[in-house]
Amino acid sequence: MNVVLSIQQIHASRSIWLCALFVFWGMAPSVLAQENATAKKPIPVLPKDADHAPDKVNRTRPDADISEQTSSVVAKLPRPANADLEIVRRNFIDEQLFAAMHENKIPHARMSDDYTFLRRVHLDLTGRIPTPDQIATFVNDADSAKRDREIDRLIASDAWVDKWAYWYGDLFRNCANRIGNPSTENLDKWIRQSLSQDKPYDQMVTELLTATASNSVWMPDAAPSGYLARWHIPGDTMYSDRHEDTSDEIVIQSSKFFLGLNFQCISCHGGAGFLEKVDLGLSKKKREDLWALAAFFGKTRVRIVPFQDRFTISEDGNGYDSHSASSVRLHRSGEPVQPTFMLSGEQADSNRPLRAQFAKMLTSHPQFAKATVNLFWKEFFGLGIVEPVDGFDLARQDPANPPPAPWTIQPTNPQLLEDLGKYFADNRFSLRSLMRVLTQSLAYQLSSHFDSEWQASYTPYFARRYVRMLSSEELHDAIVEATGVYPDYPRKHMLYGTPQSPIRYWTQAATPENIGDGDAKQLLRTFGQSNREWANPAKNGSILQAMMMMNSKFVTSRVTASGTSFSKTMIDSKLSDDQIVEAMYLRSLSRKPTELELEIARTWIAENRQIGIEDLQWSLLNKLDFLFNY
Amino acid sequence: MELVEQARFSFQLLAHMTHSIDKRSPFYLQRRELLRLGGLSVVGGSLPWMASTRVKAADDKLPRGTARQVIFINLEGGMSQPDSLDAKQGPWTPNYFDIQACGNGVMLPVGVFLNLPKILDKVSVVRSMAAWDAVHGRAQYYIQTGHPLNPALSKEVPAIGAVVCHELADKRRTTDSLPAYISMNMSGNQAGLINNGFLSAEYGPLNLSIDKGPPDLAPRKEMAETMQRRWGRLQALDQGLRQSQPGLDRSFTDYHQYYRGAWNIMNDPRVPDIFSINDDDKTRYGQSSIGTSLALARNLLRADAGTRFILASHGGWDHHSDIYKPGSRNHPVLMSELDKAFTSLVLDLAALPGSGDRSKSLLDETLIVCMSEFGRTPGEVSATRAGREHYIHAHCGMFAGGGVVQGGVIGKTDAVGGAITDFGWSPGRPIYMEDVACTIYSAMGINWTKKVEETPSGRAFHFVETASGTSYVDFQPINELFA
Repeated sequence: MNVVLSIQQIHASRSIWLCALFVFWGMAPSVLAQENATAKKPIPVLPKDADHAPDKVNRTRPDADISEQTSSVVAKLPRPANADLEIVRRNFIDEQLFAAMHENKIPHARMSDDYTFLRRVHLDLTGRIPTPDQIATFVNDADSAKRDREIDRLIASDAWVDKWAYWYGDLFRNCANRIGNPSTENLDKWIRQSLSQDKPYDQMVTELLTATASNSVWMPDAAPSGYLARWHIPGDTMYSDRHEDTSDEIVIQSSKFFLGLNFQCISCHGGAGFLEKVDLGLSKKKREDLWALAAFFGKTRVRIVPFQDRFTISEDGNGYDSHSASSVRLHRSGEPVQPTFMLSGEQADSNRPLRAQFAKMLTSHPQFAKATVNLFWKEFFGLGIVEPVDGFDLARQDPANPPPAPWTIQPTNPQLLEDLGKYFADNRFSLRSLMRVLTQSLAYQLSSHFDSEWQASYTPYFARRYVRMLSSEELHDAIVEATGVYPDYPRKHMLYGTPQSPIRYWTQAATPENIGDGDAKQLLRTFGQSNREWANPAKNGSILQAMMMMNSKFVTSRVTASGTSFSKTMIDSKLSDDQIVEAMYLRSLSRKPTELELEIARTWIAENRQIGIEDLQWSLLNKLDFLFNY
Repeated sequence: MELVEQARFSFQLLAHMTHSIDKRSPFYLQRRELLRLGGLSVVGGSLPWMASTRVKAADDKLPRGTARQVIFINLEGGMSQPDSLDAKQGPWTPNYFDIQACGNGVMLPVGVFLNLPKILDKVSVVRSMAAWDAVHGRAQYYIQTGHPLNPALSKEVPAIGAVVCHELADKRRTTDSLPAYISMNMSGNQAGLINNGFLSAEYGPLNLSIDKGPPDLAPRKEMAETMQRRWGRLQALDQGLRQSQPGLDRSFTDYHQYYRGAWNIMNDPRVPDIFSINDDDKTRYGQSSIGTSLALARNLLRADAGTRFILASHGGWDHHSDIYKPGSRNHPVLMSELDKAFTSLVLDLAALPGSGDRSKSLLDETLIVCMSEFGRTPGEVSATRAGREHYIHAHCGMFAGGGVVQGGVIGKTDAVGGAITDFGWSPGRPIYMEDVACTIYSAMGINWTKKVEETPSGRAFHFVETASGTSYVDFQPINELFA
């Protein structure tokens, strides 16, 4: 007993420090929680999920005709305008956010203009910049509902499936090095199918959590099982298994993804004495509570089949042993546990399949909807309503039942979070509906430029758009789109040898491991691509990124006027210098140049047509508004 | 030798027991740990020994400060100890390995390590290392940070290199245009490239991807003029976003700082020379990624342009199958690559004058560490696919320069290289990555027991923690490596 205690004491220093990170992350947004909590607005009735026509985007790219096409496009483009667009609250998101801003006298940015909106929503929904044709069609459309229609069109497109399937591959870290190439591709294919069908998210998660695999490679039914197998923790050798460790890992990861809860702390020690100043809810939980959650997977065995890129998942285990050794944590020593869902205290019926019960309890709990909407809110608004998105403190969610001082309610706008969760559940957990309501809100469509001085205290109000760097995949696709030099990466045919089209856009790939040439891989890695094997890297800027943009072969070879490059097309065209500048701005930055920019760039081309055009293409790719979604 | 080791061990044990009253329970645990790990006798040594060691122990808390810069060679994937620096003859050994006793009784496959025997007198070999984790990701995280991986912490924990560069920050000169921390071929690392953590971004690594040739950091000569013109034009065209102004999101101007850093490097007149490697060097270092990396490391240190910590990764050691298979990039091929590159590096640094003190050699000033995240299963290769699996109970490495004993050897293993039979250093337990981290910090003049209070979370960051992921261990520098 003495020994156990002392281990915990020694461990305390690290654990407290570790856990304190959450305090730090959660701190800033909580400042305004109290005020926001009082705002209560009626929820407008929103249209239910409409049927969508399949993607009608023209997928062929007549590169040869581009100069002519672009010249006609440029002539017809209107100047950007945004100042006159009226701020009219569109849906319950606006009701909540603008009411909170109004109440606290927080000024907000103006509406984004059409060009900015189009580039932003294309990148956020599909991960790709709009083509000149798409821009021209959109900005010349006089329909006042054109933004909504564009959102509908994008959400129904193949590119939307590509972006979010790849995004889920990163989130789940779907990685051939862990589960083998065939299973990685199968899981990816299954995610793509689920997204294409707009499968209700509760059903999707249930299928992931309940998958079994008698043979992961040859049984298509086993496709979602890669999700569980990916968290397999080996024992002393790669092919042995640490059954309880694997169960722990599965519920820890699943709780992060699907409930926004981080149980890492209590996977080693109880919350009492550690987490009182970190996570109020978790400070009352014990390590045994996590074991009881993991016990839903107590009979589940994930076995890696040696040397064959295969695994099996079956229900032939002996249950969760609370006196077992661990490869990654302190060894277990405690009372036997029964499968119990921590959030509700509900116990499993031992006569029925445990994992199905777990999936039911998880997806029917309100926290499932809240965590999911918060996760996607962050993707579209740059900052979660609860931060970090996997750090919900369950004792600090209910404004009617506030935590003791100095704690505050955690969500910056609890009613908005509540409303979003309800909307998601009422719309059969449709991810498409969720993304539609997020992007259709005027709050999403605000400009990133703020007319007066920005104050840090405005941040939780979402009073303007927060800019973000393009992801490495988005940057790759934007460079090839802007320059017109498309790659054709061969697909690996891991399992079924049917010929498939080569990969043009990065997110068409199942996993980053098997595609791209050396130049492309270097670019993506430098810009923070996940290798999916280990923790996803932080999306930071770096000196090397700037070097890559200025001096890497991937970029400079595409700037050069040769082959299909847009520089070459422009040089060979009969366009005037001004038209060339406008066409290149449109293709790279999805907007018209400003007067000043046009004035500067036209002199380059007038001085030397080839050098001027190549320099302009290089400069456009290195402009900061190319590297950011703003 | 063994008696001495045992004496030191016994002293420590007794010291812990005496202190245990006022120092609370951790020491009970440590005693248990030592007994379990060491299995050595508690009796031995004498009082005078103890007394002198005791003073030394106190002195040991002072960093040595014998090195000015570090090159860490990361043999990624797990080098097989019974095939390399702790070679064991067995039925599995290919004939051409030709295992022989070299300097200090180090057994080497001289048929593969053609050059290494010639420089053993400049190197210390360590054969009593052990790892905590058998998974690449976690173990490589250890290599980079000296800390156990905790996903909840990982955003805040800096790499060892970043800590070193942070500690050396006040020594940085205005002429130092290159980043203090440069890593090579780390982008495919299974732990990811560990960054500056909570420390300022300037201490984070600049990671270079190096294949057969050095990277083009500076524009090629014929492109220099073009690049100058383009830079000027970009500044004119993009001034609206690159200059701070009210209402503009700060991310833009922040990002411009990376452009400025990049531009400084691209225009440093030393850079083209640093990043070019002549044909003679290519031959001597070998036409391999590690050869290029180490030739580049030499250039970087010779130029003394601000780089103080280099992490060079040599990938591909993870041979679960066909470990000796001819015609593949097998273990002997990698060993041969390492042999050429490492030997040339040591010889070149020994022949160059030091940057801080011209009377010393550059090798005297540079601590070189060369090791894997773990070892490989010893004895016979696997029957199923002729390879070796991950193994945490024994592996090996090399240390050189920066005050390290020339021609030293620490630790012994059993007949197959699977169990450590002599730890070869005072704590009487295996040498872990935390101990290597202590050693690096100490050699660089940094007190390894330091902690940084000013973290974003407000909680202290210990340079080296006192507990591993699963046990309590009193980590310390490998004093036996130094004279």
